[in-house]
Amino acid sequence: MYILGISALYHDSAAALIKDGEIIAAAQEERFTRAKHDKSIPRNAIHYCMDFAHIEAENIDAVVYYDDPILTLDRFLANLAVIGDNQKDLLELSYDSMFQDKLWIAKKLEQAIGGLGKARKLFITKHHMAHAASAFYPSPYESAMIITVDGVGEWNTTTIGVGKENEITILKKIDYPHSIGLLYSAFTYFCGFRVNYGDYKLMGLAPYGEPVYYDVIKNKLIDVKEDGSFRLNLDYFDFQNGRSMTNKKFEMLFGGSRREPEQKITKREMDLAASVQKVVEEVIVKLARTAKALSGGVENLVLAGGVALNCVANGVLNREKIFKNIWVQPAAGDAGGALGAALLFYYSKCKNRRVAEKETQKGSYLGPAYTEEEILHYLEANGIPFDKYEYGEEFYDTIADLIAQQKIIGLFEGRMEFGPRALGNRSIIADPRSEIMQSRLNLSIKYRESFRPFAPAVLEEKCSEYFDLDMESPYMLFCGFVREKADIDFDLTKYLNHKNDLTEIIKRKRSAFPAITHVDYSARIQTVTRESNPVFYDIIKQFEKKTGCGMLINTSFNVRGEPIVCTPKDAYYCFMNTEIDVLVLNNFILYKEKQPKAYKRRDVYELD
Amino acid sequence: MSWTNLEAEKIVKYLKEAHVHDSFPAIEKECTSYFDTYDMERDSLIEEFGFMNIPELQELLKRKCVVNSSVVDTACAIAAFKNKSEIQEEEKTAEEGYVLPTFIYNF
Repeated sequence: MYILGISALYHDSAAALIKDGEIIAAAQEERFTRAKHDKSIPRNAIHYCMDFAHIEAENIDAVVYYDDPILTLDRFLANLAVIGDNQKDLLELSYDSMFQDKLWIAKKLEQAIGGLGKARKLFITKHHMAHAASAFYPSPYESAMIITVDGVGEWNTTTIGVGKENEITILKKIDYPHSIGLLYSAFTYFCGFRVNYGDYKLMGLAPYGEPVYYDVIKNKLIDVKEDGSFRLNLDYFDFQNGRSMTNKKFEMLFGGSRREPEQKITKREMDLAASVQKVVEEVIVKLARTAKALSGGVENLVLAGGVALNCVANGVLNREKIFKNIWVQPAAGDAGGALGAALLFYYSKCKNRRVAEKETQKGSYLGPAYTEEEILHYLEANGIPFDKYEYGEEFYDTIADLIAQQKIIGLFEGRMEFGPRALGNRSIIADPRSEIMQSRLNLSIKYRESFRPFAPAVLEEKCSEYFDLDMESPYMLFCGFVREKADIDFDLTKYLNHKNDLTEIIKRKRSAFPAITHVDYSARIQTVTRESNPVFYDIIKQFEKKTGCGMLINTSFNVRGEPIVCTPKDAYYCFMNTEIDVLVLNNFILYKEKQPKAYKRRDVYELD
Repeated sequence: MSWTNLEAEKIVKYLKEAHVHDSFPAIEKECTSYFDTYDMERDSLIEEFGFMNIPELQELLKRKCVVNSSVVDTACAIAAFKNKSEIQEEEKTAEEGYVLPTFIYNF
């Protein structure tokens, strides 16, 4: 039984295919179209899934879309009825999206797929049910409490539910316009980052600041009850009008107009980031306590929705020990809705039996892979020099040697990751011990703001040696703290007050692994096992043998504004247009100095 | 036929006449929880989704929506069928099987 799940028309369009309950393929459309967060109908992702399974439209038992367009229109109309003087502008602005796209999703998908499968009908789930399903069904738990938190889906912004065997029941909800996701987006916007693109930058900025605006936010912008439920004070926001996220009143509250994109980041933005992060963490923890109170003794918690990508909040949740176990869907945003929709249909609609297993998500390596023959053909057809290896000790040793020599490696292996994080198959890897690697990677490879440190990919068995994280974190969704701090006398607050310069701060050595250690000594950790990714594991293992260091920097294989690379060609162009020293394409190693200059080409990506 | 200011004004006008909402729920310091109950009977359903004509879309809107006004529903259904030359046949079917309210002709 093949079920195709689709998310589209909001952001991060994606397709996911399951066969008899097994997740066999999933990918985001942006990887194929090269347009970040692409929201169009995911034609390429759909056809990738179908080609992977060698099926045609008539072989699909059901096509399931992750959102109810009628309820979304209902929320849009209700919002329109409430707002004052901007109704007509908002209606005109949204006409195509509301009336010409979303309502016609069945026809659009029928055209893209070549039919709506055996049922000849499109099935729809509710947005937060799809998120809940994406969190619960691939989790390793027979039963779990479920929390979903995002900007908005149809009417809902937050839900608490419970999953047991093949059934999901949502118990509580909070509706638009009261939304933690929108609150966070408002601060993302106000601090000069793009909404839906820059939320993780705000999270990365937070450790530089102090939560001095926490009380202001709690007193003026949001009322949070003890059970984690909340309401926003809409007097300070403008998202209802579709013009911007915040209004003049919000500006007055925080000392003036928003930071314009690309302007210098000041202490105000750092403090705002720290403050809203603290509020989000408080809400998430309180929601988890309520979920626990409703659980009847269930020890497992699963999360999805865009806010579940906040790995700092997830780390806090883990340290609170409200639940014994936590699992977060790696494609927690809308892309994962495609997967949730398909799984919900299979288990809830079709009443199929579910057996909880550890590797249902398959490490999230669910995207396209390229064979040795395909890569060889690409290299030879384009006259690209390479060294070919067999997978084995010599291959891993060569890569580990290069990293130890402070080379930066583009690593392209096996199936592409599903979700926003690169987990070793479309990654840039480097030595975390280097004091200059954070600046070098940020400025000459990623072309991005220099304040953000990189994530460590650590051998799972070594994780507790380096970090205080006491759990698996295969999807880089939990933050922990570096155990061994550098012996330096460094007061961040005093430094910021006097210098207000992030680039100076990041040059200060904070631990034995400066490139992955944030100013508060936190790190966004990926634990790696041989079972989940043997090639990546063996590269790190070999590096450990050489250097004693059982971790590497792991950052996504792209430049700022570009989606993560998908094909060998994407990888080669990224390699040639950045200061990546070495490209590993499966078992082929390419050295920059041997490459023809003719392949240099600058793709221009809009800054995110 | 393109979307015009006049048509946008019509939907706004009908929404106002329908008295759908005056405001969203606001902060209430005295209450202890803002949670609502999720209606599993209604909100968890996996449904077939599609409509062939304006009346079918109106029926969907009527059945599901908080904004429940036949005038608004019809206005929205008409808006949805604008610029859809590829479904003219279905529109024709709609017109055959359904007497459109008079205001639609001013739309």
